[in-house]
Amino acid sequence: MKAIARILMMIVVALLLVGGAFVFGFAVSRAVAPNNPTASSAPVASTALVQQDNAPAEFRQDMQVFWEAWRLINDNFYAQPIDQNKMTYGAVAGMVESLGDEHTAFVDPERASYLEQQLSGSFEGIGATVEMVNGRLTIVAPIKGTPAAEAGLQAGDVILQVDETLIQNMDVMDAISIIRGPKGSTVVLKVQRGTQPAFDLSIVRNTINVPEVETKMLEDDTIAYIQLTEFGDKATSELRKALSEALAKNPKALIFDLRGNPGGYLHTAIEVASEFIDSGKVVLVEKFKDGQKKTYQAQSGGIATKIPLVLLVNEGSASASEILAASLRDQNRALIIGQKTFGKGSVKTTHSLSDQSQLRVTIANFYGPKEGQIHKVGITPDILVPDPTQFERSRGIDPQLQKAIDLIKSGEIKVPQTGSSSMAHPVAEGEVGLLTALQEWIAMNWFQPRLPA
Amino acid sequence: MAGFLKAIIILMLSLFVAMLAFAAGFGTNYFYSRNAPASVVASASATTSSQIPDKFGLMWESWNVLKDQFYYDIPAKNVLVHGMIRGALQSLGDPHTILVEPAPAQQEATSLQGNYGGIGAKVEVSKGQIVLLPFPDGPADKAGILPGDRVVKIGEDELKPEDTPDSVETKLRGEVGSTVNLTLNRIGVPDDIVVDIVRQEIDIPTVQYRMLDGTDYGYIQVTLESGDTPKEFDKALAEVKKNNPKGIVLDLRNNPGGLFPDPALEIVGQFLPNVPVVIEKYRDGTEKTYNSKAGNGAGDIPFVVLVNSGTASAAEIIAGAFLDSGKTALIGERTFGKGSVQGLYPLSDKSVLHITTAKWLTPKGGEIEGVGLKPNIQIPLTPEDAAKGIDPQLDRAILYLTNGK
Repeated sequence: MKAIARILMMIVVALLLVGGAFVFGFAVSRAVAPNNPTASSAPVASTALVQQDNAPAEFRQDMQVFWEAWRLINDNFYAQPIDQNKMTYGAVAGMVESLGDEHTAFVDPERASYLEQQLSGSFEGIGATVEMVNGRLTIVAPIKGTPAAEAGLQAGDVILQVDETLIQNMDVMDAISIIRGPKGSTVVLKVQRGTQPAFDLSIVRNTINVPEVETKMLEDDTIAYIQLTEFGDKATSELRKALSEALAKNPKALIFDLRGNPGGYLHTAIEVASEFIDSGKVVLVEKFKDGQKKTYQAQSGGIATKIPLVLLVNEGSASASEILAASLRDQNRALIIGQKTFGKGSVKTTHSLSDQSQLRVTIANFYGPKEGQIHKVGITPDILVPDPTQFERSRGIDPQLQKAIDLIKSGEIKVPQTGSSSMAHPVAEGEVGLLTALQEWIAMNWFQPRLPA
Repeated sequence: MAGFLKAIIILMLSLFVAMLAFAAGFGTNYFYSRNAPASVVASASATTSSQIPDKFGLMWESWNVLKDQFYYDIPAKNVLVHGMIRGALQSLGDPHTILVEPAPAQQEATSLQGNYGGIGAKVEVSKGQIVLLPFPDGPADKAGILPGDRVVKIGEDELKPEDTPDSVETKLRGEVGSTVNLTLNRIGVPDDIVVDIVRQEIDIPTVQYRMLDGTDYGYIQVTLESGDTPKEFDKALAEVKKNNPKGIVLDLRNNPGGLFPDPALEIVGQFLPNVPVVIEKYRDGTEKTYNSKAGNGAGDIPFVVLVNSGTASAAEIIAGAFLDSGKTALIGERTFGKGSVQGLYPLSDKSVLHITTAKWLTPKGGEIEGVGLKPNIQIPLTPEDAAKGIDPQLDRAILYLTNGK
């Protein structure tokens, strides 16, 4: 009995020893070879994730690869911890990007709030319009009366660095987001001007109001010039005010400048068109994937429907600007001068997702009243005049504007023959639901975007 | 007495069994970890990697909108899934962690057959951009391409978001004698640079050497680290030593790296035997230090090292070892800043994930990735200098050997 007990005890001790040694050996091996980035059995491990994921049936098979990658990243990527939310946003953005339509995009909450600020016409920053030229962030112009103008920032200055961040080749929106910041805070820009050595410029940020409309009277008040820079929140009211002031001076013609205007809200485009086009006439036609059409007409109350009109456009005139150009052309309402427009004729809807991020989806293409193609084609002006060269620009020479002035002075621009166009479109009544469609945007991806910072 | 003997035998037997068990445990884990993803090892991340992230519902929320409303045709599901992976990787902000799809790998295999040539440049990623690091005296170097020039277009094809250093390298390859047209963007130059380069067979020795004219100093240039480099380096050193040099200039400028670790450990060891060369640091905080070989072929001959912005990866490791040794000086410009290690992970659809799994730090723990090494003596070599055929960096190196400072 005692012998049996002893043997049992020995067995237990031996097993403990063996087990302990096994575990110890296992652990030592792990410590010796902590990284083994070669083979992987990830497919097996990721199956669990595929099962947890509520992927729609059509995706279930392909998602296997995604969860393999997901696990491998989490298990092996050097920098820890990994922000799972950020990576999720990245994945959704990547999926949307793979659709291959540059205007369909996922916007995380941070960017969504930026875009809203952009079209509201007011933000906190330094007050300079910037663009990316060959990967260099270049000042287009400081906005009058802003900190950027007061600090002496000049058109053509290149921003090399913002505080500690180098911005060569950076996405223009990212660059702007670091230049902008709360009112009262200071930003230090490293500026390169011509061939001078780079220097630092320290600027205190303030609230910047970007006017969307600029007006001037030309040729002894005989010609009114109005420029619209975007179809944002303030465009309609600012334009109405500018028009009534200009028209009060009884000019013989109006030059409406949409060059470099990248677009904005669809409803704003219709409101702007309604100032120039008689009520009830077609402004644009939307066509959906399923072949359905939706026609939008000019609203009543336009105050500039009679004055001879010249429209200036160029390759920076996109989307809402192209709606204007197409409708004014198709309704014989304006002479168009400049360069062929950008060719962005798609309509986007913005969906707010469950966490304040947004999905902007191309849902339709729009066409002018005569249903000519705009998307990827653009609108060719009646008279092609090249953009000012860099040299001309630096000397304030503008051949396109000059052409418009010359034609008006020579009397070649006449009062439009109203009602002459072939307006056979039956227009459904009550199609003004559009005005409430504040969620509808057009074009946020611009040709050489020039943005305020 | 018998009981005592028996006890000893039992003890020895137990120890033997325990040793076997230890070995079995060691082997089991070794086998297991070689065949299993590292997740099994890294318990800290086991929870994150085995759970669906909180916000993942956004994916299907978005998908449902797109499916109903997107105006154009929707690509195949595997294209969308690759897009998801690419997007997730991009969010990590590491330019070396990328997805390589099956197609470029296959292209690469075919392009390797036959008489293929290249432009003589390594393709790297810097600040999210695909850039070139030309080898000294290769076609790209001779065409005036500078290290860090960003590739904009190859022929008429603009680079796409899914392009990787591998895919670009593939596109740059072609028949020997054929011409490739490149559009490049250079920091500080407003207009794009367009060059035509004739592809050549790239088979330049990785080590060149000579005595510097009118001096007692030897010059050894390492242009790339390959399997042959240690042997070539030994020969170069032996030849230079026949002239009893009073000093040696080691030129690592425009050396884009290559094979690691042997060439680096060998070259450092010829000057500084058995010293730490580089620390490989893993994400769990563990480290591995590589030490130089015992060669010491250069004995006590003073030496100095030339570097520039084209000195990358394995070449930066060599430079870092010299920098931290305090026994010599780096002269030239800040190095490129590629100091990370990528593991390759095949996915079940034959695409491959490149994931940064470790970093290289200099022996004193200095960061290389993204920052490069700052030379002890900074002196530029301008395009004007190059046009005039002068080399202020080499001149400074000679001065250093003469003055010891």
